[in-house]
Amino acid sequence: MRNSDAAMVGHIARQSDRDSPREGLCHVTPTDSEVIARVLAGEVDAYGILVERYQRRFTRFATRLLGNHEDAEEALQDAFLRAYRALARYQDRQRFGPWFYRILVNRCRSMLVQRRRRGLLERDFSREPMSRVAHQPDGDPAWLLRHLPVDQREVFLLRYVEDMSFEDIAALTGVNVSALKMRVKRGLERLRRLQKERGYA
Amino acid sequence: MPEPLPSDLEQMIVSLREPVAVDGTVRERVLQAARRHGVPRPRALPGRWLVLAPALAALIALVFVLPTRHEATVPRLTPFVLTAPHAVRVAVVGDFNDWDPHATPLERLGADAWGVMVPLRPGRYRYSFVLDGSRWIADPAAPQSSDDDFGPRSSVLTILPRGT
Repeated sequence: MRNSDAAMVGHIARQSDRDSPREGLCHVTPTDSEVIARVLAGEVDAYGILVERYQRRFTRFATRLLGNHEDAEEALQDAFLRAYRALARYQDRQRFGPWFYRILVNRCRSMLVQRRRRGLLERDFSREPMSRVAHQPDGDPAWLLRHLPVDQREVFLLRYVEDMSFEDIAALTGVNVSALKMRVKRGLERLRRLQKERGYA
Repeated sequence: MPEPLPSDLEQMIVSLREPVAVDGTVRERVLQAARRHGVPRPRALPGRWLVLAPALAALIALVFVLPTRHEATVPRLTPFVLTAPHAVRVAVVGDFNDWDPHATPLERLGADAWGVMVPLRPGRYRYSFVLDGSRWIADPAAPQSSDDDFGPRSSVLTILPRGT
């Protein structure tokens, strides 16, 4: 289950008509660009194919990024609607995945900022000194993850949880590979320090 | 051959990889909104609207010149300019165009400079420039977004209502 999901996520950055999934002999899975063509031709409900496809791929990522499943569903729903409204203007239809990902990540970012402003979110632990962080309660993975700056959290999740290559992450995020590796390195270092100070190593 | 997990963080990563339930109602909620919205259309005006273009222009002019209480929502033409002598194409992406690299291309203004005017309602926007379809850069002439937690850096722009 996890491996197949990860493999599909790995495809997103390079998805094209050529390598989009076509499964089985009887059930041909339409490519993203085929689905978009159907939607723009008037078959609005065909958009549900893209919703199912990318919701399956990105729900775990959004949940881990935001630390909250309900927020992740809201961000996904909002991102799907924004992508739908802009669908006719988006010409590179073979790369719907990376485009949708960018919309989703921006929605997640806005949601975090809004919640922090409204005081609904906990303190921004990632900006606090390690000594203070180490004295916070709990030590579960989600708690540890919240202590990473979000740019490091994003790349850490794509690399180690979604199992994507740095090249695929670069194609998805628009950030070059060396910068991505630096973010992962710093993220791992911070997580290790946290684990050590909390005695979880 | 996948790279082995960092052994000291393996337990944490394995836990984070646990599947997350997918909410089956999201699809239907999105489709209901999509049906209400109708089939997505490009922003370009259809041919029949060209006949009404003069009247439309007059209406827009009225909206711009009349000092009404709606000024807080009146769009303001906002310039986006970038010096990028080696770029083949440049676009601006942001909160105002769903970060779509094809929606708002810049035009060459000379050997080095690129520019475009975008009507924006008063508000705060994050944006970036996209060079040659893949390289995202912040606007060197604008402050960077302080809440720029994800991905490539972006700039921030605040449009004030007219008369402020």
